[in-house]
Amino acid sequence: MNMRIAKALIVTLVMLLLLPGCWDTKDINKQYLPVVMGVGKGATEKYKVILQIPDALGRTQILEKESKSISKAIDLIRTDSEKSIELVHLRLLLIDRKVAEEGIENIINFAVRANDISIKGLVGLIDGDFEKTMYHQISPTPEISSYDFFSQDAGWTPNQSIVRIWEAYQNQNSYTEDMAIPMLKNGERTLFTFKGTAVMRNDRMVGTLSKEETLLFNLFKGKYTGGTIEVAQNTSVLIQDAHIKHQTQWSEKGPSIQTNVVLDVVITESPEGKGNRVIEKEMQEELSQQFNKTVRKIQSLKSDVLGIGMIFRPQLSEEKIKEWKTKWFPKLEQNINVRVNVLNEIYFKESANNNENQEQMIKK
Amino acid sequence: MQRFHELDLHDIEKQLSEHFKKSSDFLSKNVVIADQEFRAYYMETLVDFPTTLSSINHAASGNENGSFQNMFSPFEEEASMSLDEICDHILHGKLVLFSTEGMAAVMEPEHTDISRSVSAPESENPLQSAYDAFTEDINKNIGLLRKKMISDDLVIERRETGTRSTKKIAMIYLEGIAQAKVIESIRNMLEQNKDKELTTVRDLMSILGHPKFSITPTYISSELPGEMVQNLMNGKVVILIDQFSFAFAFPAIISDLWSTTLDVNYPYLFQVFLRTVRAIGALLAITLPGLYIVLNSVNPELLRIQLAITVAKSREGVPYPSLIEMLLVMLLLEMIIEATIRLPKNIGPTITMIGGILLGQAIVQAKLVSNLLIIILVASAIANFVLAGYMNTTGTRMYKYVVMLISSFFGIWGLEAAMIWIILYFASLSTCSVPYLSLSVKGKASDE
Repeated sequence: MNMRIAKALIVTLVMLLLLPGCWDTKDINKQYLPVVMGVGKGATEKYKVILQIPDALGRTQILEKESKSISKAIDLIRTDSEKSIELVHLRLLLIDRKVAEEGIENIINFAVRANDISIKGLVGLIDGDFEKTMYHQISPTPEISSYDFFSQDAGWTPNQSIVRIWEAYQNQNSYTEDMAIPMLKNGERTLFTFKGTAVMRNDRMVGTLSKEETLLFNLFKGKYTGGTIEVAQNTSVLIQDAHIKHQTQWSEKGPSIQTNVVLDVVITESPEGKGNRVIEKEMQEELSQQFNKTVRKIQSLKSDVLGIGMIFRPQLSEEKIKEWKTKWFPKLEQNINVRVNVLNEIYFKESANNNENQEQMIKK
Repeated sequence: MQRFHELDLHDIEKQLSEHFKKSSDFLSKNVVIADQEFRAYYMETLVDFPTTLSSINHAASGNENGSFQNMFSPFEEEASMSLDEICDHILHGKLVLFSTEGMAAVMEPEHTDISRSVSAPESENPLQSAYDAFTEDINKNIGLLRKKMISDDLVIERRETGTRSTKKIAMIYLEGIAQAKVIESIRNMLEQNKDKELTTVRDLMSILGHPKFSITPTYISSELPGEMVQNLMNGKVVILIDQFSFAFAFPAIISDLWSTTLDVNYPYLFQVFLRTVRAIGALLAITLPGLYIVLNSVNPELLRIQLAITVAKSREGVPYPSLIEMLLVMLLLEMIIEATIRLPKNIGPTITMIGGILLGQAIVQAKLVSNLLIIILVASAIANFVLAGYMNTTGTRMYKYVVMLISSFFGIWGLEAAMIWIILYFASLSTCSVPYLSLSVKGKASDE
């Protein structure tokens, strides 16, 4: 009797070990590991899904299928491929602009719901010919690193916006914030060229921001290090540090916000004879003007991509939060005031005479 | 020296001859010492009889008017004479003399030269330390320790164990440094099991009541007296076995996995560095093979994509799943290790070359296993032998298979579970009433 119990126990243990375990795993060389997924409009069906699968030699294998849903399309790809398709390494989700204009909620929801897709993956829009961009290959750059375009350790600059799948999901479900998605096009010498930032209202694309306007967006999001601003007359500065302070007010007319931006910059290029104070003054005026223009543009699109709603959120009641995008944000009065602080005094000598000239220039 | 009735004496002599009838090296000889006739009984193989006789005669002649007792006093052993005891003495290499007048004596003779002298260690390669090693003779071994540690506190308890064949053992500790409960528990176990035979180290473990199945050794063994001195100073109890050229220190604790006591000969910073390397080696030796399986078949998302692609490339065309692949090569590796250990030193390198270079190269070219596997394998094997002492490496060599199996079933979760399990196992161990997960066994420092 005892022996029988012991035997039964051993069998049960072995079963327990085998059954819940990963007994049906596939080895890594039996898997395709796509890093880029493109979702575009299909010729006959709703979606066309294109997967880019890199290999060790730097070539990219591209698989595509059309279907009514993304998961079905991936399933169809899987059916025809000789290896299993695992999306665990998907790093870049590219969406056709035409699809984005009709709404991307489905796609983001799919990406979040799919267990194997990492929600740290990046989202981008493709402006222009979707298929051409997806099939675009340049050699000898290994395509493995196509997502390096956005990587802060590699190809990213403050002129590019960046949004991850989880952020997109958060923004599309948020009452007080909208998302901005970077727009790409195939490049000639490089893999992509950055076209600007798509402004989304809820899950629909409503407008674009240019590269310069994207900088303001990044300043608001705190991703500015290393950004270069070009001001008039050959002057360029490098942003070292930025401090943003908001003063909010809620009057009868609606919300208003005064934003003070302090930029610590280093001058990298400047025409001769222009002192720091002149550059500061010029920059302040130019940037304030530019930023205010951008803010008004964003407001006219009725999309709160800067996340102003998040600043007001503590003051809002439950109902007002729900009404923010429709009722209050269009009424928002926003004013941006830029102050520039030049850090370096090393590269440009200022003589006493020059200083007087500068005073005069400022007065003018 | 004891006086017998003459008849009894004859009786005993007769019984003695009867008792050793089957031992062809048992001899009895008539000798004359100081004009008295004796009959000597001894083992030819253990006693150097001519030398003994001449030294006795020398002593007798220098002691002209001394009595019989005085004459033997330098050689005499205190003894009471029952037949069993006499037999015992003879087996231990003593010389038994019976005079015709009914006198009997047991004496310590000159021994034949069958134990080797102190030499350099064979199985350990100490750097910057004394080069003498324990020999087979327990007295020499104790002497080596005594010489290295001149102290009143050094306690040496000699015992014997076994009934069919007796074995001399010595239990050595430093009073005031070794914990009383450790000494007590070892002494109790030795006392309780003193009838058990002791021929192998495992017998000693069973006498001390250590668990039969354990993946980590419950003792430290070494043939270096210097190392044992350090162990004594760290509060361990050392047991010496006669005719065994290793000493055993009890109890082993977790830090013995990565520390040899000879590290103290280096500057402190060097010691910390070396021990860190060994501790990392222990971790790698256990986890690397499991990690390979995890990354290859269960959780490839843990690799960076660049690496994942290279790994996939290197596995292309490999017919077996990674667990089988791993087991295959692991088995080969274990066999190479086993094969080289007992080979003569001049053949060992050949095996290393055949096994390591030719086989490794061929097995990859034949696409039986992937390149990465060989790298992982070699790394884990090296990491394994970084550990202090051969005994410790065997435990990790075994446990690595458990990790591999669990990892292949449960992926990264399984790997973690296996690591947690080994910690739980270590926590459950307690040898000589000291928890295995202690960091010190010194009397005063307590980790509990």
